[in-house]
Amino acid sequence: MIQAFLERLGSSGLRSLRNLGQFGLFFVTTVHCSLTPPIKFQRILKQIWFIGWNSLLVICLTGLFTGMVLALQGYASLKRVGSEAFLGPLVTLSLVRELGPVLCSLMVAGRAGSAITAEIGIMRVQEQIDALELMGLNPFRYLVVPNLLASILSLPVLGMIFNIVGIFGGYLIGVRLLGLNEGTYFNEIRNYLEWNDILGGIYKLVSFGILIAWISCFKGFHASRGAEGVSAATTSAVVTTSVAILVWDYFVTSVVF
Amino acid sequence: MIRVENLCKSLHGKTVLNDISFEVASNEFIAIIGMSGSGKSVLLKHLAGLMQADSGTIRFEGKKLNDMTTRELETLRSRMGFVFQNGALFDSMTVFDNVAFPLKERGGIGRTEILERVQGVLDQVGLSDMGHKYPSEISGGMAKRTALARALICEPDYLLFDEPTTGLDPIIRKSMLKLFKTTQARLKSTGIIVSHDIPEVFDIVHKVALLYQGSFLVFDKPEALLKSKDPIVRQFIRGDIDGPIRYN
Repeated sequence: MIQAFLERLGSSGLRSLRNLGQFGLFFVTTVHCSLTPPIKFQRILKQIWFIGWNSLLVICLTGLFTGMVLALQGYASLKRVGSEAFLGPLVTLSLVRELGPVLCSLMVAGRAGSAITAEIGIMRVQEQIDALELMGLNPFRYLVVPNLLASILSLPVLGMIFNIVGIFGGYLIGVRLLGLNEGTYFNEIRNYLEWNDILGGIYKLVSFGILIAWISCFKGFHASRGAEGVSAATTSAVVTTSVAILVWDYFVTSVVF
Repeated sequence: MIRVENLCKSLHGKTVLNDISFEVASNEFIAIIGMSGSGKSVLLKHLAGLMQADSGTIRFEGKKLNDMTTRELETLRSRMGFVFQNGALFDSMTVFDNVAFPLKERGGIGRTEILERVQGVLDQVGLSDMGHKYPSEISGGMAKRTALARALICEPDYLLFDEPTTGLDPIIRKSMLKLFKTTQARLKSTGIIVSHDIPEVFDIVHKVALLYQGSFLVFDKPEALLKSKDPIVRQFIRGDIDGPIRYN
């Protein structure tokens, strides 16, 4: 009984190790293909449209309401210590340093990442990826690299839009609804927001972009067992990406800020 | 020329290919037949480099498949035309774009020439007016012919067909088989077809291999199989229920 348990444990450990190795190799291959020609520029533009442009509405909505709720909560808290004037910096720094990159990336992972996994997963189970290979085309160059580069380029822009809309949301609540002085709101933002805050946010967004594309493509690439397998791969991709974003966020924050 | 030596493959603890050796000469067209699940598609995927053998070697024109660099493998594959069992068409593209895809991706060909070549090959497979349709809008037979057109568009040196006529009506099936033969002869390609269309497939190939329990039970001219006294060969070709072959 103990031997059987140990065998199961060992087998499970070996499987995890193999998966981890595959995951790492997948990334190395993708980076290698990203840095060597031919690069499929048309596919990259198409994916920028899909990941970036098509996510714009959901990013704006999420950003707006995040800024609004931050302003509501922040105003109530700051009022207790008589520091309502700092509402602008509170909303802005929360968004730029933390909430903007994280929430924006989670939204993109849910919207675009899941779709990427489903698309590649269906291509895998329907042998379309094998068909690509048999045409002498490298599926990494055609399917993975465009998603990675599009994700790296789109995420920072989406994150910045999220932040700007969020700050505007904070303005709507803080200034228009709660009566804070407009000049105070924006002047205090200018006083407290530093370039390092913005740069730190951009670093986060770029690394989250890599995580989204990497995990989503990997899960799709290794999907199996028909529709059920694609469904499982999609769920796993969203969950893994979301957890990875939150864990990685801690490490980036501790290093960058 | 394709040469396979002592190829072995096990999947999930079951031996699928057991010490298979054979050779397909240039311009030769062979058929692989066998029971469902006997490993015919697995063998074809090994030849295309989509699966790795446990042991044994596959050589194309003397060069070992396993020793090829990624570039060499891509070059070899660009000389292959592979028709999958299910077609494996890109469902987000029209029939025309599916067929044009390999040409566009390889580059070096003008738009007008692509248009002419795609239309030409669509005419050959009887899909002249279907170019604008998506795979979901055409029948199974049309999808298979689209897959064939895509495989032929680059005029490959190697043609690999994985049950390309399964599920087609008898008339389309016969016309497709005839098309395979004429195309193979015109392109002077080396061809391998996995098929259950017995005896029709015998009319278009030079040799037939019967895959049974992981090995080639026989690899000979079609006439030899038809005259074979081996009870397994006879039962399989005739489709008899009673005989040494048993389905569990």
